[in-house]
Amino acid sequence: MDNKDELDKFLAGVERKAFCHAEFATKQTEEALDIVQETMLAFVSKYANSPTTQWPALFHRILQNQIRDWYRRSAVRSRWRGWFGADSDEHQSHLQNQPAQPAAEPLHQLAGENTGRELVEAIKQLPLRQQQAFLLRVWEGFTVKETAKAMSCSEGSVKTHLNRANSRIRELLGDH
Amino acid sequence: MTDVIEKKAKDALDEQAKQLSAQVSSSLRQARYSAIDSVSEVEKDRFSWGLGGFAVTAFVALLVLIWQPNSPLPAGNLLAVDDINLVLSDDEIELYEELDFITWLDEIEAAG
Repeated sequence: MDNKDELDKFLAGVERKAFCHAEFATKQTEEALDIVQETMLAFVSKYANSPTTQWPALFHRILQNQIRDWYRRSAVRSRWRGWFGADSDEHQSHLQNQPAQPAAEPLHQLAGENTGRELVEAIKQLPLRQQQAFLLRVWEGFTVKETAKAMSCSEGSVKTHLNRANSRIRELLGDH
Repeated sequence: MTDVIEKKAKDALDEQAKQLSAQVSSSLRQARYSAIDSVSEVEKDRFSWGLGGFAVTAFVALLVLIWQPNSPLPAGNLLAVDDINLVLSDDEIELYEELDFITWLDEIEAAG
């Protein structure tokens, strides 16, 4: 196929960042690898013939959906195990607010200066939706509209999540 | 302040992505190769479905062509054919004009 080389180049360019997205959200290397592999397969099977300019947005839409699905499956498994008693009505709220990592330790206690490592740790501690908004807007350089599409939410929600993410990061770094 | 944090975060995240372990990098490469190999399968499936669709369409078209000549023409078309015959046969035009009179005469004779 003609665009196999283009696909290879594109996927090689996004795979490391995609893995970081998934690992930050799941905190598990194997789960993150599975998510990236599923994303690549779904992307290639559905959008290999789409215009290359649309590939980044389409890829991240699939990736974010895979991450959200992983969270939902985890929530169901956890419910069955009785780890927390949230019912189905509370699930969406759980998804919005679930920290992507267990309880945050104030990072300013670790060091007085904001190093790169501290920032990455702070990003890992963000709730899932804030983390997704931050990574897509700040790291991937997506517009608000593109981010909203990838996250399947409104542009207003993206702005809210990003604003909260920035506030939370500053809080974790002890900047205010 | 936000801009500074975002700039620092971007640099830190780029660094994080560069420092993935060799094992993770290898797994990602394998996942990419698997995905790209699946393109051929997807294309093959699409070709098979396309070929199947074409065969079914051709068969249906053939059935329509076979059955079409046996089906009766709509009444409107028959009338149009009659009109054309009337116009083309000049010698019989007067007969058709007096058809009502001839019919009436025939009925009178039959009654009488």
